[in-house]
Amino acid sequence: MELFEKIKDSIIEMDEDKAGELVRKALADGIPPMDILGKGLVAGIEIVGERFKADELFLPEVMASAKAFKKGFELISPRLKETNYTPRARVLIGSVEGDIHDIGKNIVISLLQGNGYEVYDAGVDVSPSKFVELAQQLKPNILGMSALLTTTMAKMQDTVKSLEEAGLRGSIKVIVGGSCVSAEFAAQISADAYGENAGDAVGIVKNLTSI
Amino acid sequence: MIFNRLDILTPEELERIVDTSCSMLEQAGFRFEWDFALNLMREHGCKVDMDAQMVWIPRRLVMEALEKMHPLAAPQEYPKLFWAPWIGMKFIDHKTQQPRSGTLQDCKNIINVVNHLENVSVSSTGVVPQDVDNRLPDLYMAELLFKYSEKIFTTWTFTVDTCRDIVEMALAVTGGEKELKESAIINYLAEPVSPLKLSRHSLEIIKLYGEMNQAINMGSMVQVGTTGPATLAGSVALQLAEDLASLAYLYCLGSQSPVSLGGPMQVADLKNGNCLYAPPELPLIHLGIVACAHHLGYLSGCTSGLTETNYPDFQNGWDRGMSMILLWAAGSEALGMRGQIGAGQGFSLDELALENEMGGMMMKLSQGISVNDDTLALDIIESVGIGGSYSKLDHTNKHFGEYWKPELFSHEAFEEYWANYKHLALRAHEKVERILESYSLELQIPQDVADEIDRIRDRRIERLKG
Amino acid sequence: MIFRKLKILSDEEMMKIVEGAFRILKNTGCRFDDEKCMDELEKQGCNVNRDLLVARFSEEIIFDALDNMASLTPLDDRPKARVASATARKILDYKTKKMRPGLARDVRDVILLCNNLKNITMASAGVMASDVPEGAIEVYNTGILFKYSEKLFNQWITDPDSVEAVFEIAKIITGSEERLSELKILSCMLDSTSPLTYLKGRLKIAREYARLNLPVAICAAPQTGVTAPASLAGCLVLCVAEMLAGLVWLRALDTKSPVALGHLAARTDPVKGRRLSATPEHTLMNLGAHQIIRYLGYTAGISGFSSDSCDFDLQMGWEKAVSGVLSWAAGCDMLGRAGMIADGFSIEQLALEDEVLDMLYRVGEGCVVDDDALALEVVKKVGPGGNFLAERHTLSHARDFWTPKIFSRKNYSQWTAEGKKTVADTAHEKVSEIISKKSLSLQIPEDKAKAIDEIVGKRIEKLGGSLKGGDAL
Repeated sequence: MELFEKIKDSIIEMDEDKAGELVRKALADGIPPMDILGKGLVAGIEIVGERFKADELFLPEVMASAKAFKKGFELISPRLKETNYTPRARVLIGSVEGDIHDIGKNIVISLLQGNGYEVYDAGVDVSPSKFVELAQQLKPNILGMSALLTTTMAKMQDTVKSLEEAGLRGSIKVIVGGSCVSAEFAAQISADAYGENAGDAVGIVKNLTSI
Repeated sequence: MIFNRLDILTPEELERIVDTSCSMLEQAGFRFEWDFALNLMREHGCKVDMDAQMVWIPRRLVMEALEKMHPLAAPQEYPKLFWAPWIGMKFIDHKTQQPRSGTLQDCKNIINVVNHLENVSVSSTGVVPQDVDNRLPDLYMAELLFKYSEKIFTTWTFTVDTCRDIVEMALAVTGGEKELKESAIINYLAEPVSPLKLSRHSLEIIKLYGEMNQAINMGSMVQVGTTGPATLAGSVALQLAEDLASLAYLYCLGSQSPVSLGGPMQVADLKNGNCLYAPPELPLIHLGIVACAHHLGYLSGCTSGLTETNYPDFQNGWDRGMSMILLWAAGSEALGMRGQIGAGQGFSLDELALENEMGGMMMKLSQGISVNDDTLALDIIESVGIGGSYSKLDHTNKHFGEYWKPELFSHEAFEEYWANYKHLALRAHEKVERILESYSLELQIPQDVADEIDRIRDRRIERLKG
Repeated sequence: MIFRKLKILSDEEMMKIVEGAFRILKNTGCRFDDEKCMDELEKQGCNVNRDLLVARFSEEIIFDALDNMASLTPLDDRPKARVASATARKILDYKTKKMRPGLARDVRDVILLCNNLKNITMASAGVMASDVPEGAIEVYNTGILFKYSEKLFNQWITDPDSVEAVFEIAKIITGSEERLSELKILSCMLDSTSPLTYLKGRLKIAREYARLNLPVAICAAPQTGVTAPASLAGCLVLCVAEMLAGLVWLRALDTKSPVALGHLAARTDPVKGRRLSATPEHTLMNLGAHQIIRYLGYTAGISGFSSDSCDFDLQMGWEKAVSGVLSWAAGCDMLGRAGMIADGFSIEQLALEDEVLDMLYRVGEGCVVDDDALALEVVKKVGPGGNFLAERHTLSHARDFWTPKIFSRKNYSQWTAEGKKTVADTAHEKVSEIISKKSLSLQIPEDKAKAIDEIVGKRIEKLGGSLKGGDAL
């Protein structure tokens, strides 16, 4: 349908306002939200993801497309809840307690959103208990933690422990990243994966969720 | 000597950048995540929002701070190269050449090697040791440097508590508060979280070091495109704004700390968000911040001479050379971050040895051309005459003795080089091996002072257990 | 904008060196190994000794030459790279890492690469083809370059017997000697033999070029401690004296040739006596010479990208950066020696230098300082703790940044996974691709190309070789 094509194009063209306007129209026309999502929004963001992987698009362009996607998604989200919609994968991500650096985390969020994942940003300085609380509420497939300071790395381990104590560890895969983190440290704290660069995030999430 | 340094900005452009930086502080504001600091700034005439932890700093205060704070003293010989090692999380294992987490033993080896590299003028531990309690690696680093470094050093301070301990160690080394205030043996890199934020622990650490008049390098780390605008001038203006905010705070504290402006600015690869280590835009922004610092009457240092590549190949040499030479030509007083390889892959002792070689060349360049009767050699030219030879003259032998001599670099002819082939990386490696085998760390301070340092460290460990 | 005005000498120091050169020319003079020069210089007012073939110069005569000999105008403000002129006998075989004699096919490859490497602004043949008879090489190279080079090129002539054929080739392009004189598409090097001598062959060549008012680069290339004082200032005195002597002689010819002055001095390895080209002393002399040459009012040519390394290693990259970037920072007009490795030529090195010139050009563009670039409103909008990635301003500038074509930005894991390729390996792939996919095309009408082939063919035949089928050997 032409409207799906236009929604798809608005994502590719990074036009947040247009995406919002077209999704509103689609909803008003009675088009099922799952179709708007799959044939419009996700169709667009998948092309963006492919072009990014092929080095044709730059990160700010992906982020602008992700913003447009997010705008459209927010409009259909209340209607999606009425259906049996399950997201591609749900990722909860934040910078650990004591750490207020967030640029790497923000890049990861955009890349994941740009590949159609549902991402919840817990922000910075997130305590282990706060991560657990959000995990219980949102039921993510993946928890991503970022730390830039060596003195805050220990909070990653504390968070993993807190997840275990809350009985959530089995259902959540943990990815860690940040300039002070290493693969050895990730193994040491029994994380499921380590991302050396923000760009590794999509591949890692795909592998961990097989989605 | 350098005359007419390399300039990147006109005086009008410099003024525009400074003006923009001040406007950023006045209009965008700055987040100070500590009530003490917020109140202090308010007392000095800043508009403050305590709930939002925001400060708007008037340019009057910035200008006053610039005028009244003390620039870090100029090096005795110009241009002396403050050639300081990088500090990072990873170490390129000396035997396997693979990156891994840094250890305390690596720190010791690095200090040992630096002690014996004549062109590395400033020491550091090179890596943050990760085989110690990760709540206080900075304390271990400071301990080793106080005890074993034969040179002035730079190090990191991560927490307020370890800062207090490091100050206490410094007091033990210098003999007292008066002596410490006069000596400035510690230097701290005051690093806001870009954009426009100073965390509580940074503010507290600046206060602690500021009270002891220790050198503070205003060194924000704006990253073009991510934590700074995607334009070079904008990021330089933001970097300067952040440095000036830290400076204004230090001024309001009443500190007598000597200060420099500059910092490890970065450029993001906007294809993927990675931090780039050697794009051509990087020396441009560093040149910009150096120009601003000099324009404001302050010394400046930046990271320079980094490389993206993982091997000592042509790109490695060019990456390092281009940025270092540009900054040197612009008169930057400090050229930091030595020993790094491969876009932050890790600290490499072999690289450091190679950079020591480069440093030797740069020191020779810094001497310039001596022009006097002896060097002009007019009598000698006339006596050798047309078609004559200068070989074997005393004058020739004397000046041959002054030439730069390579230790690692090759001056062999092509066939000779390949007949005796040994890659530069291997030559550097062997030099490091020789140093490690020939020298061990020796205490640079009296035993009782070393014992006191150990006591301070152990006390912190005990407190953390509690 | 970058202001490339780095100087290494104070004005006082510079004047001492220049005055020293004047004193040498007044008291010692310079030898011109050609009697005809004595006539020319005596007419100019020099004090000549015909037995020794030595001329001495007063200050007035030197100033007259400086006032009346025009400078060769630089092409533009950007840093330029000139492929090292074809004095390399050998070329590096990348696979075997051995030097082998250059061949005619290598000349074609070098021209092809120069055509396709955008930052190499001035081409050359790169090598002396060993399968062309010795006395015909310069003619052969000139012919090939006129036929196929898409850029300005340089082919120095060192054999006086080649001049006639080279001029004939040039006249085919320009149509006449008068037009050749106007268009100035050929130039020559008048290089001294230190200390203080110009040899007959060089003088003969320069005289011919000056007759047609073609550009002349006067170059001094002594070696410290051997043919020049071991002190840097003393070596500069000698270089300046030799350059000025050459300049006065050209003035005596009453030519309108524009002039460039070139410093090609080398520092000696005190242990082995070798000429070294990338020591800090060498770079200092280059900078000092450039400063002086500019002061005297001339375009300066100095060896910019120099290295003493024999491998594509850190030393090579570092030394080329130090020598090249500093020369550029001093405002040097022409940076030579692109493509050289040790005493040979390397097409991989040429590609690497194209890459680094790209980086240097980017630096040379400097920083724009305007409202958009200062981004005050963007900073205010993003605010403390925000990030700029998603801003329209960032989007609009995201593609302003330099991207490498050969240099690597891979992290350790990626680099290892791809077999630990070095940058020279990547350069080799690039040049191989250009050579396999691109080809030379005639840059002049076919009839002119044929006429050139005839001239080259005659020259080769005269020396016992043969040119078959166009310019093939």
